[in-house]
Amino acid sequence: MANPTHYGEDSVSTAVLDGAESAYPRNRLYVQIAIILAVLTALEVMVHSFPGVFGGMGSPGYVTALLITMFAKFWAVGYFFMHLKWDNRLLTRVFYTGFILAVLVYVALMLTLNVFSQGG
Amino acid sequence: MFDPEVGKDVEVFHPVHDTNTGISNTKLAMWLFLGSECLLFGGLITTYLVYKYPLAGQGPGPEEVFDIPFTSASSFVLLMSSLTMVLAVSAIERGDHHRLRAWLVATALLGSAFVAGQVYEFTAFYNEGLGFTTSRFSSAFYGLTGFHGVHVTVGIIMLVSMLLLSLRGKLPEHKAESVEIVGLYWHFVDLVWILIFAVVYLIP
Repeated sequence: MANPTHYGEDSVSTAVLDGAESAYPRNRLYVQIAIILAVLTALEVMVHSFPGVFGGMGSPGYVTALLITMFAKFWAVGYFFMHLKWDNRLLTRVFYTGFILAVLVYVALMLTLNVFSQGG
Repeated sequence: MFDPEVGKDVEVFHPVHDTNTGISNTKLAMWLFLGSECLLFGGLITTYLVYKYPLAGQGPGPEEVFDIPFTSASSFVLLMSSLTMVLAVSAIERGDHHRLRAWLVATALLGSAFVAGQVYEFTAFYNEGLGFTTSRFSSAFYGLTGFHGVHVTVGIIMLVSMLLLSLRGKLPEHKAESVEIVGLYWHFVDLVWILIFAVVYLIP
């Protein structure tokens, strides 16, 4: 039977990385990511508080700015806090398959309601 | 289990099963569950976007009731709970049970603060005339954010369970994956809120 904590050369479990290497400086990285997330959240609130800078509330610039910060936060949490950076790529594929399907549900419903063709 | 050859109960060690994916079965199952949860929340967010504006005379709309500074603070609290959660996972993987418990408690408290904020927000909205059946907007909004709140509450229960197991000495280092899997769920709940905060609260 294979060692249950080793998953092959390409994929090392986070338990192996964290547990066997107690000095691995990942906690500092986590704190840095949390600071970046806090800054991005502050940016979102600033965009909402000063919409004129981005072309006005609901303008393409305003929505784009918020979508960029939202997806940056989403990616950072998934990639670092959920260990997708270090885990087997299959997990990334499984998760983003679900996510992309969810986006397709949204697009399908909007197409059904002719939102895109009739301008909402 | 009773062993007839020995003539008494013996402790049974269950072998760790190999996988042909290179990933532990439990972790893969949790990720598959989270992938399916994307579809659940995708459906709820889509429904909200379709019904976000109430019909005339059906009570207040989103711009009239949302308190962005308050919700921003709640979002910050939930984001920071993701940090304490990942630090808890890191602690048990290093065998540091004292810090594991401290970070689990911190995560549960931050999650509780978020849920308390949501209860306060719902109460304030209700007092402003926005009940669950007031309008299509209110039903979609309460349905989406309520489902998320239930997920956070379930996460808190899981965290407290992990804490109790640790206090009873039933969470050794080689079971660190249990904490990691609870952590995956917790981070997912945070991910969903990142989407809700931007799409529901900030983008008109």
